[in-house]
Amino acid sequence: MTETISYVGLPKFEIEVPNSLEEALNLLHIHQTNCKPLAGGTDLLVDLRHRLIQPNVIIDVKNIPELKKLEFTPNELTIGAAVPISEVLTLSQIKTYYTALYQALNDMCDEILRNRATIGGNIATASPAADTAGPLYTHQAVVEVQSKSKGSRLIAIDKFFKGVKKSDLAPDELIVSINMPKPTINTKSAFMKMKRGAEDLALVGAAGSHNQEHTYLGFTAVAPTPVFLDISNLIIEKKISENVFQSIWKEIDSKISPITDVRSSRDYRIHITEILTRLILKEIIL
Amino acid sequence: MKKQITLTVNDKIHEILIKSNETLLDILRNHLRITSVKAACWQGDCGLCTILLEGVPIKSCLVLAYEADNKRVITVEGLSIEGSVSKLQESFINNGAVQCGFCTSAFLLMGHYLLKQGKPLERKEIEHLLNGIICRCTGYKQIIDSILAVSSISSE
Ligand SMILES: Cc1cc2nc3c(=O)[nH]c(=O)nc-3n(C[C@H](O)[C@H](O)[C@H](O)COP(=O)(O)OP(=O)(O)OC[C@H]3O[C@@H](n4cnc5c(N)ncnc54)[C@H](O)[C@@H]3O)c2cc1C
Ligand code: FES
Ligand code: FES
Repeated sequence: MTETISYVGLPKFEIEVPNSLEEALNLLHIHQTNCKPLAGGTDLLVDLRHRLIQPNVIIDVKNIPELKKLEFTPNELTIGAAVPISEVLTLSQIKTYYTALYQALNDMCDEILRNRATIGGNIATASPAADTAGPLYTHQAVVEVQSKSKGSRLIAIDKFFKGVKKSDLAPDELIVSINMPKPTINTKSAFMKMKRGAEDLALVGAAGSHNQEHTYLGFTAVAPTPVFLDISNLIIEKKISENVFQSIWKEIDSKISPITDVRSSRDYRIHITEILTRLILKEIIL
Repeated sequence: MKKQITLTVNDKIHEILIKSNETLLDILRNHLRITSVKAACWQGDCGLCTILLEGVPIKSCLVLAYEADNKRVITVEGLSIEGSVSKLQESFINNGAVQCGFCTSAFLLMGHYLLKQGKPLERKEIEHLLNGIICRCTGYKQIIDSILAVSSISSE
């Protein structure tokens, strides 16, 4: 039958659907840079459509039990790399203990795409605007990855992003899960993003968490990679004076390098980063 | 490489030969000629290609066809029972929620899904839940009114 949709179709590729982690790692080992894992496809299919990537083999990772795990134990939260965001949001503990992540997920993409999009795909894409990056840092997430050549290794989220769309993942490595320790009782966290319309990418994203020992901040869309800061040593009292804020802002300002693009100018992004930092600090320290 | 899949669309079973790089949207429109499934961006933005896959809304331009093997798809045709309009479709008519109509199938499917969850819905919430579909005519108000109207009838 003739094709009625005239818009360019997807480039040619073969599909593999491994049912076990071992099988998937073997396929990645064989195909290396000629293959790409597929989770929700909300980034991958767009990149394929625009010919930004042209792998010979697509490896659907949604049938691998380890990547479908979603579990909250007394010590930590484990989110399998292929669990769709809508499913993550059904776990009640996300809202209670991981508020920043909850707020980011609840507003990510849109209600329809959340049925497909995953946290694993979000960080693997390594966009400077990845909404989950800031919250994952403030919750001190560790990413478990596996490959046939290197076995299993853990990457702290602040070591994961290496550049625009570049991560620490080797071509044959698969993200298995994202793990976060259970926060102590008095931890507060929050996420906010500034965007133009209902489902546009963030102009600036900001996340923070605070308890007696630690205060962490994470920013997205303000540099080639997400920007993470441990400002625990700057929080000397329960209240943030203007002086203390200025010392925090000085650290942030030295680390961010926003660009001017269709969404916003550099100056506006810097201004918004400052406003969001004030709002986040007010939310988490009180 | 070609592969045979079994796809149930609106309760009718189809055996279809697909290519590995075809999307569910390609199959529904090009093979099955279900043209109520619209497309305007092919990259997840417009939401016009929304269908229900195993009862859950997805954007069919971003789902590969093989994933629907042995699964059930519902398009807007599947919402009317034996040719008569559903409560939600009637509400769209009464509230003037259709102008050019290009987005209507997608909003009806999404509205149907939201109502099926059986939770009472508020305006603000519906607004948030509908933001994956674009309408360039109505300004959304009438669409939200239509869903709200059915939601309040069923919760009475
Ligand atoms: C309309 C629209 C709106 C969007 N809105 C937002 C938004 O508000 N915020 C935001 O941050 N993003 C947004 N995105 C981007 C995208 O939806 C997210 O990044 C999403 O989380 C990607 O997840 P996925 O499962 O769909 O990834 P996929 O598309 O399946 O994969 C993305 C990349 O990760 C790789 N990958 C996937 N799984 C693994 C794994 N287990 N191990 C190693 N590599 C893997 C793939 O090979 C691919 O390169 C939007 C996209 C669209 C189309
Ligand atoms: S065609 Fe626009 S979202 Fe699928
Ligand atoms: S009625 Fe025309 S796009 Fe919605």
